[in-house]
Amino acid sequence: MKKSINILLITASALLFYCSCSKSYLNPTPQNTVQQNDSIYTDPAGAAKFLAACYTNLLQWNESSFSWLGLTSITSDDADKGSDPGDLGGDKDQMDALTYSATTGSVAEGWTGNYNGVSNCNQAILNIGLYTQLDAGLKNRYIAEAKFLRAYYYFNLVRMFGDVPLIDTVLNSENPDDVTKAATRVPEADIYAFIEKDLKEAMSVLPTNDNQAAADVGHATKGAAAGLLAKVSLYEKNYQQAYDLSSGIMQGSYGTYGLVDDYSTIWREIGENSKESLFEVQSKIGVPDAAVQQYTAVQGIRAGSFKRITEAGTVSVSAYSGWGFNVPSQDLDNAYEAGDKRKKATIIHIGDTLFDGVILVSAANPRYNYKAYVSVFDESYDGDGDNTNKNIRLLRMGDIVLINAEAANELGNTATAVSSLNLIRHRAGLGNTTASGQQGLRTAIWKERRVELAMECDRFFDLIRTGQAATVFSALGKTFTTGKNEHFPVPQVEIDATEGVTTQNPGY
Amino acid sequence: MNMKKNPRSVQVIPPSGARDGHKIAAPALVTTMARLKTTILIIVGFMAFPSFMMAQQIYTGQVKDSLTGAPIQSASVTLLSSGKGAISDSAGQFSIQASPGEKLSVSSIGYVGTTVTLASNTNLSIVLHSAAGTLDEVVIIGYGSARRSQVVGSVAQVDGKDIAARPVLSAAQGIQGKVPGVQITASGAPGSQPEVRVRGVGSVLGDANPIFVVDGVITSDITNINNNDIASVQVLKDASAQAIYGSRAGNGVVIITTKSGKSGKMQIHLNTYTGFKTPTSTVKMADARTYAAFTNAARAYDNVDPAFDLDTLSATTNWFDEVTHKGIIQNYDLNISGGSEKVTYYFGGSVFKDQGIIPGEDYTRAAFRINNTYQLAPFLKLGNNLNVSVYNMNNKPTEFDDAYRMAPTVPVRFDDGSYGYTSLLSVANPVAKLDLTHDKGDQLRLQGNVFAELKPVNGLTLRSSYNFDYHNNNQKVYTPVYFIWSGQKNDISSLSQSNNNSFYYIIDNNATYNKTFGLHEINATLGYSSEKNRDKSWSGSIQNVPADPNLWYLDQGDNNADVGSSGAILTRASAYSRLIYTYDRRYIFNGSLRRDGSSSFPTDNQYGTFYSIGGAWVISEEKFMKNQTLFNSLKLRAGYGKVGNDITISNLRILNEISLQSKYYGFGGSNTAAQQAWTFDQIKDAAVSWETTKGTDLGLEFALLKNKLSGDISYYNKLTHAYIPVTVPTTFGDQDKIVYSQAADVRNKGVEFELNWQDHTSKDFSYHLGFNMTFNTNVVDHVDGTLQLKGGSLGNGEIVTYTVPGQPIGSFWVYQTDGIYKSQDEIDNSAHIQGAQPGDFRYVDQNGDDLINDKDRIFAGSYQPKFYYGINGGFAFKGLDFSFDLYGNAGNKIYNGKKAVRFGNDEIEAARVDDMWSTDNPNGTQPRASNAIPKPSTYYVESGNFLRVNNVTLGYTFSNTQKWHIQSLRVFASAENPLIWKKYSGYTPELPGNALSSGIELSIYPVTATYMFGVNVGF
Repeated sequence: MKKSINILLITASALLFYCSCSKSYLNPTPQNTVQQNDSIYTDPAGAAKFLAACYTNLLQWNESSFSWLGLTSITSDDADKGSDPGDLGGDKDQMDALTYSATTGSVAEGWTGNYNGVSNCNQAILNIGLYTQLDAGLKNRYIAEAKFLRAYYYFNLVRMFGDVPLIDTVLNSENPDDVTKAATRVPEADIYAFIEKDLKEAMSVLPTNDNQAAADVGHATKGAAAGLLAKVSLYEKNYQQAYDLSSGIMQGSYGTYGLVDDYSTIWREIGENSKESLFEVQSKIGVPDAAVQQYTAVQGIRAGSFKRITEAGTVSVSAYSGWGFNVPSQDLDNAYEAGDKRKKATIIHIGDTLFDGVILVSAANPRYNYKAYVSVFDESYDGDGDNTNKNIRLLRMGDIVLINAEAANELGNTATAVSSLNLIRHRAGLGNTTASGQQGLRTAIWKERRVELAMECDRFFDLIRTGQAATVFSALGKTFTTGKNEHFPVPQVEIDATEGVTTQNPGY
Repeated sequence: MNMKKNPRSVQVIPPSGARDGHKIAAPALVTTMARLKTTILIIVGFMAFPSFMMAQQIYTGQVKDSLTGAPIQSASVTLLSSGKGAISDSAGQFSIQASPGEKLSVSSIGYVGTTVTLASNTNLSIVLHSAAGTLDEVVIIGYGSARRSQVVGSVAQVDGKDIAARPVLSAAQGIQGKVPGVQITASGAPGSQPEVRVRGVGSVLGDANPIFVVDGVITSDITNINNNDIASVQVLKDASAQAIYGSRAGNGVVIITTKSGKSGKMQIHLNTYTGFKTPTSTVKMADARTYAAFTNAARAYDNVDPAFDLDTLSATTNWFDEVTHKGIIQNYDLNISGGSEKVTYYFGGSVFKDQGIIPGEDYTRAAFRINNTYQLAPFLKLGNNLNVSVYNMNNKPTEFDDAYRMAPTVPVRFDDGSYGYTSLLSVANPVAKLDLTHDKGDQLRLQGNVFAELKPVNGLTLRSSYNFDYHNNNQKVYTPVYFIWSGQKNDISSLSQSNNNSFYYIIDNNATYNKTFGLHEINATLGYSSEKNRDKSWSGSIQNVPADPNLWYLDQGDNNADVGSSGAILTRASAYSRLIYTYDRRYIFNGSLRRDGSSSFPTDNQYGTFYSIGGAWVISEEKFMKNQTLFNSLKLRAGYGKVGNDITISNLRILNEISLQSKYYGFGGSNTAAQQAWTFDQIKDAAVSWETTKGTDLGLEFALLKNKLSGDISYYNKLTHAYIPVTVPTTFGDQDKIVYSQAADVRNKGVEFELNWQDHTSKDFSYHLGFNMTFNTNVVDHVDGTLQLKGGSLGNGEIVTYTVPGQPIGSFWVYQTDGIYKSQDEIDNSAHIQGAQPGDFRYVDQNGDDLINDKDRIFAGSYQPKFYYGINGGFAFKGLDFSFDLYGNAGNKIYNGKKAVRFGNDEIEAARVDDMWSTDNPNGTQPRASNAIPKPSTYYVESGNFLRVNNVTLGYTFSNTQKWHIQSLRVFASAENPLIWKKYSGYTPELPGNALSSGIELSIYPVTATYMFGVNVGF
């Protein structure tokens, strides 16, 4: 007994002096967390991850989904808010009525989504440069892709907000110069110059689509950079550059591109990454999550009932459904000429039979965006309606050909303008344009842009670019204030975060 | 009488005496012949023992309560000379062998101990005074205990039996209304732990709940503890009390001490109750006809065709009734305790089952506890407290929201048996949702400690303990394929399974030294501890899993398999000390000092120092108080201290983290694996360290009129230097543009008081009445930079709370309604929101800029009450006992979120159409029928005042139970939450939620009423 007590006493004393107070005890290795250290820069695969973050931002809700549709489509005469009258989608009623303010959520998300993209690109450019074991050619290509995407994000920002802060490096929030840079808006022209610089650098490095490996489809190409620069040039009214680039693309100087024969396939799965497409957001179903968040869900048919023609006859089915926002307007419906194949490829009407045999019997709204329709029967679908296989076509030949027509017309090259315009009309099942004269052609090209690119988030910016906005909105009973509504307000949250250093746009 | 109560200690003979309460006034050896025979036999047996000292006699006696005269069970009776002792039985009887002139110490938990010198009279009658609330009550203060007179901080104590009496899962809920300064907000959901706020909300972010210290294990979840195993609960409310747990005490400390065995005969108790639960209150919804008429009218304003033909409506469905039922609640508890000089033991086993009020849900917990001590030598004790608990639960979605919004015109099922729906509104059929949810969870939890106590010299105790807490949780959710309509369907079946487990330990070593030198008394504590918590989790999901429950395994699926796992490690190292110095029992000084390191922070900022200093003056011990008889005790206390918190936000430590992006990118089409992405997109504040709370506490404690009236008045004022999300410009490159920084000062100050009255008018009748109340003011004092802390999202794009300097945390921030527009003219001539029509609310244009926007929102109160209170009382008359317990709060606001998020064509409350504006009723006070999403306005801000009957219990204790071979028997009936008086129109004014969004009723599981019947048996 005595002995066992002694043993216990020794054990107890040992316990009393047990201590775990070493320095490392309070600094356990972080679990499941990657930290910045030298080793992350040794495996070149890490560089591809930095680059991928420039692209994954395109899949984000605030970049490409609800807010973006609100800012660029619901605002326009092409689309209405949709859904139920009382269902505002946060603020989509304000987007529709052009009554948004600096505290409107969609506006704040438009700013955040694109600056997050800019930041990811800046990080990629800086960090990819630190990969010493990465093949030099690949490193240059990666950096060029990041610059292409940075230009894309800035193009969105400058169109939405005009003057914006120009962030071209990774900022240090402790550095006063960087704090000033983060808050100070620079003139629109400087932003455009920066976009041009990035796109030209990207063009000089990126491969054409013919030289792109199948596994690399989705990465930016020379054609994508040239196409985006052509479009940017149009906004800058640099028609010569827009003309040269768009012609070059049509002639195959920047890769192999062309109009696909059947307009209705462009936005379907069978039309993914076709020769029509210069750049599109890759949305992939399944695991891991690589899809655009809810892009199709917010636009899907609301409260629909469906039938489908099968071998067993016409049966009730469950087809792809969603929230029913961003629906084509009556005005858009009326904008198509008789016989225009694009109307039934853009707008789903109640009673229509869709490409997969689905008949829309009834729904909450009279019209839906066909370009956002997903077939659960004939396309890849895994039951997850929020993450679908719908790629977003950001830049396609229909746009390029019309840029070419518009630039040519502005340069006085009527013949080319007419021929490019007719290329588009013929595909749509329409005859040659009857427009003549520079102004007549200009109007015809603008109208053609509307129906060709309907529901593709181009119309609102186009209305402002072409100066038609005040007239068009006035006809619809909406107030577009010249000198104010050309830009969205700078989000109040950003102004507050800089303690008022960031300035507001006029009129807000 | 067949009394199997023979003591295990040879010095003690079987007790004897009256069991009848009427006769205990004369404690004598009243025995039956049989017992006398037994006694004599045993005495003869002892007499035959050669070592037996002839001088010794058998002293017998009874221990009684001074106030009620009731016998005190389990009092320990110890001979000071030898340390030998006995324990009183359920009649308060004991007997012990001793010599005249020896000193006998008698003590019992909750009573002031006494010492008597034995004389020749061997019949003793010992009267103990209740220590509850008095200065001699022993109070557990963290790493030790002290007399209440020595406590300079604010410590509230609740007896375990008060908690066990209520049919609630967690002790946190059991103390509701019993302790001033502690606000408990509970939902009715089975298996849930309520929210606890000690003296207001300090932390803006993260968990503002206090820590729970269960026998040395620090935890945030005490649902694993059987309430019957709890001996007492202490709430440390101010910095001077908390500082010994300083690094973790920022939001308060609740110490839970579980029962242990006592030397003496085996005690066996069986407690059981069973009852049913129903909602305490409901909301009257519109019937089918009212709803249809409202909907048609609303659609007419939007120029939409009517949705209903009022002549062909089918019956009304009451969806709330369809998603609720009477759930059964049951509890079975057995505990066995006892011990000898060397060993004490306590075993507790229990099964608790709660079905809740939603069909198909249930929660079943089994808990087993073993608490033992082993006295190896007079100077060395070992012990363990071990608790094993297992729960299984079937989760169902809280369908009160869908049930509130679903049209009453829709049947649960159509005539063909399929689930009812309407495409008019996007609300799921709530019954279908319950039927189609298969969500099972379970947990195994092992918690406890082993410890050694060494007393090398008199007054010094060295204690070493290893405390641990392991839990392993599993969850499995299966979603079948179903199609009710396009708005409620699932195309592909899926299964997800997850596991998380964690192991926590704290090794604690300390020394305490207690010594009295004349008038000076010193209680010193010095110790250190190291803590580590390791979490691990994995989850997996897959599609196309068959519908048979026996095939709900990941192997059975064939598409989109997804797996993930994660882990985290948190460590702390601490040194702590405390000195209590008492002079002449009148003046007390208390100081605590503690230094802690935590792995939550960057290496350079890991350490924090916490302290408290305080004093107390026991006025009643002064000479000038000796001659008065009014006050039995009077004590003044004051303290100041600083405590901390390190668990507000995770991952503050890593300043240069690479964020793996949530999305991959699908280069190369479907034949190429998607590319993972990462980047730096989180800015961290390199200066982050402990969230600190500094505070003052002043208090006056008193007992008067022979301890019949006792009470406590306290003032507190504390300031938390809290973490807030500081908004940075997006251009900085922070993905969520939030950097967590300690940039706000949150102040809570208040007054709390407590008054208790207890008395007996005769031996047979005693009663008590208690009241406590807390006034608290919460305000954001100061913020560095700009604070943009909006919260309280309603899920429809509207937010309703805003936290700014000068207002309480989470204040409601809404438009102010100003009557109803009667004409288009009125609208045109005032600032209005887009689309306003006659019959809509007019909102006040606060800044007069002719626009209604966020700048016109006002602060309309917060969920934090101005005061809350508890009232309790009861009486005992012969065998009958009755008690009641009320809880209420006042001065707070509630946002009726479920009413305010109405989407088009949703169901309405019946009262919505009362005096509703229409062209026929142009002076109506409620807005027109509308399908527009309502603006956040003062219309939805309602009073949160309520008074609820927490519990009413009526019990009867049988006398003469020996004939049934049992020692005691009590039967009782109890009602929990049977009644509530409230102004609020929703289901319940009690709405747990985080600091920034509490008080918004969206889909709350309402407080339930429980009616039950129970039995307590002692053997």
